Amino acid sequence: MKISEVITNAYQALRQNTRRSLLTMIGIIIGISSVITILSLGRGFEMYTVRNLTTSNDKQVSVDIMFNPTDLTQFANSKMSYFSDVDLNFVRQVEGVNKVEYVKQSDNLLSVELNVRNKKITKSLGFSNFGVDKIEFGRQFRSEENNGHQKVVLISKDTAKDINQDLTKVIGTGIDIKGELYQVVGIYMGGSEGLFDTTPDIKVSKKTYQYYENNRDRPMQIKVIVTKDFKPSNVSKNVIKKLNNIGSSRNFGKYETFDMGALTDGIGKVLKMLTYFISGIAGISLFIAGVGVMNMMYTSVSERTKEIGVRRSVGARRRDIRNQFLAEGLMLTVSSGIIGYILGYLIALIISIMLPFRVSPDFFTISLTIIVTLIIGLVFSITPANMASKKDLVEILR
Amino acid sequence: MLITLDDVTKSYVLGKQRVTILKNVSLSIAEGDFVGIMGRSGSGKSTLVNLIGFLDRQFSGEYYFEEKLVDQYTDDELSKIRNEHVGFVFQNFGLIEAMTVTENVELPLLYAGIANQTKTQLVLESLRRVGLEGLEKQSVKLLSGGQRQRVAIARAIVNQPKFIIADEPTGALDSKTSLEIMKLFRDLNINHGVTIILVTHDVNLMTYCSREIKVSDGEVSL
Ligand SMILES: Nc1ncnc2c1ncn2[C@@H]1O[C@H](COP(=O)(O)OP(=O)(O)OP(=O)(O)O)[C@@H](O)[C@H]1O
Ligand SMILES: [Mg+2]
Repeated sequence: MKISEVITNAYQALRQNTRRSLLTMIGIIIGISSVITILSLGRGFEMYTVRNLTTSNDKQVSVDIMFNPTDLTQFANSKMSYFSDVDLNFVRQVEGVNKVEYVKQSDNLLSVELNVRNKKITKSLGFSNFGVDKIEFGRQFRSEENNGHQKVVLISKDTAKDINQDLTKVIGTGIDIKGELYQVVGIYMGGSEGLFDTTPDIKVSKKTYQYYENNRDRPMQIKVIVTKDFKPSNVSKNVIKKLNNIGSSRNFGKYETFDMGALTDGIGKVLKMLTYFISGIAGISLFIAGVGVMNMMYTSVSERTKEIGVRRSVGARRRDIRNQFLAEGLMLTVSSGIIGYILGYLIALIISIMLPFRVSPDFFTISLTIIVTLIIGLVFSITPANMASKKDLVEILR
Repeated sequence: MLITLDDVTKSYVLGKQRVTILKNVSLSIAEGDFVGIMGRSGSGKSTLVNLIGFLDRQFSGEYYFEEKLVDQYTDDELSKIRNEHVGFVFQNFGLIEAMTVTENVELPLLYAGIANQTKTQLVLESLRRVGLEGLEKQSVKLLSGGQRQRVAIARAIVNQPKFIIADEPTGALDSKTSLEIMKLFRDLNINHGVTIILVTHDVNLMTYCSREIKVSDGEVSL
């Protein structure tokens, strides 16, 4: 018998008793869809954190190594810096290191405290992408200001309102950012209305800001770009080992890697617990559903003994009969798996609208679904199918 | 010899009792025979033909099919023989109620792995021969007894078997239709050399048969 015929045959047999088939499928659909929902969310979250861990725009993976001083006197008054060019050269020799560079604190989005009418307000600080900000009042940075390290800033409309309701009066006032006085030259649209709006409240020119910051700050961290196919955690371990052995500041503190994972660990842990919990429940529900499949197959076999006899008498071999019932069981479980997958993915998609990350179907969850449902189908219909194939012909032809 | 039964005894154990249905049956059927089997109800005719058709392998004595002991065939081999060489018309028709006429008739061809086009042709041809053209898509559930019987006959001839075992194939038919079925059997027998084993209560049908086997209380007389 051809595969296509076995499949159409199984489909027709299941259609013969649509209600029973559907009821049997429900358990599997629920089990699979709940697992897929939680796995999709988990994977989406994982991908989201990985993306955040590797801040570089290109797809390179990088790890940050920092220094944790124990003897602060050594580093007071710029006597010594945490990392030196010699250290960087050492790090470069470590296998798996593609590139090393200093990380200045100023590379990250910072917050500044403004003193407005004797009140302290916290505002986020970012860098202006030269010329793209929509200016509502005042003007853009001029290129000579940028090149000449002129201390000028743009601020958001909301921030400006905090300083003075009359926006025209805000232009030209000074803002204290880390001890340097910057002059407000322009006010742009946007601000901190939305929860996930990342537009900073205050924008400075990166070049200018770094110019003033670097004169003061010592590099606290270095960024190690990991060569492709090397495991970031291994590379960072080796780098730290080397630095703790021969790094310039080794006697005054410890080199460590900043565990970005710790930040997201909270949600990660909850999600992991939830995954285990739901997988457990889904496992039980799948098992019960599997028993349901078995029950249905047994009923089906005993209802169709005459059909089995007829098929055997016109030439079906034992294995043809077994395959027929196996195909029915598998079609039942695998199609429930597919429905459950789509359902679970849709649920995850709906939930993810409220979360800062997106879910996407992936090879792992798809193959997991197929494999799990194939196994359930095989395990729970093999005995009824074998029973069907072993039926004694004379007995059933009566 | 196509079929040789040598001292075949068939018995059932019912509770503590042992009931013997066929007692020391010895007979042989040659290729091209048209055998009529007669006997009273409950005498063991169906038991005998099921045994001849390899549906029943639990008996004592020896059954040779084409000079080879049936015991020596594997289950798969017997399935293949049934599929390619035997056509059954069961007393209770043996149709699958949930399927259509075509689906029932094409069953032997499915297991033989016949290509789709040939399959459709063969099915149409044998339905035409039993006078059921136009009912291809009909569900078996909706057919009358006589129509069902003819579907069973169509299925028995669709695989162009070497021999046909027909257990009261005309029991549900009117005399005119049963005459046509008998003519069909005779045509297959004479023109295509098909061996026919026919169980019947109708003495009139014996005129078509070349041989007669009488079964009474499990004993066979030729
Ligand atoms: N599986 C079985 N278990 C016990 N007894 C059986 C079994 N099959 C058949 N018999 C008995 O064997 C006897 C012969 O049955 P069989 O069906 O061969 O009769 P028959 O000659 O075909 O009768 P009819 O003309 O009514 O079809 C009957 O008495 C029946 O009760
Ligand atoms: Mg009978």
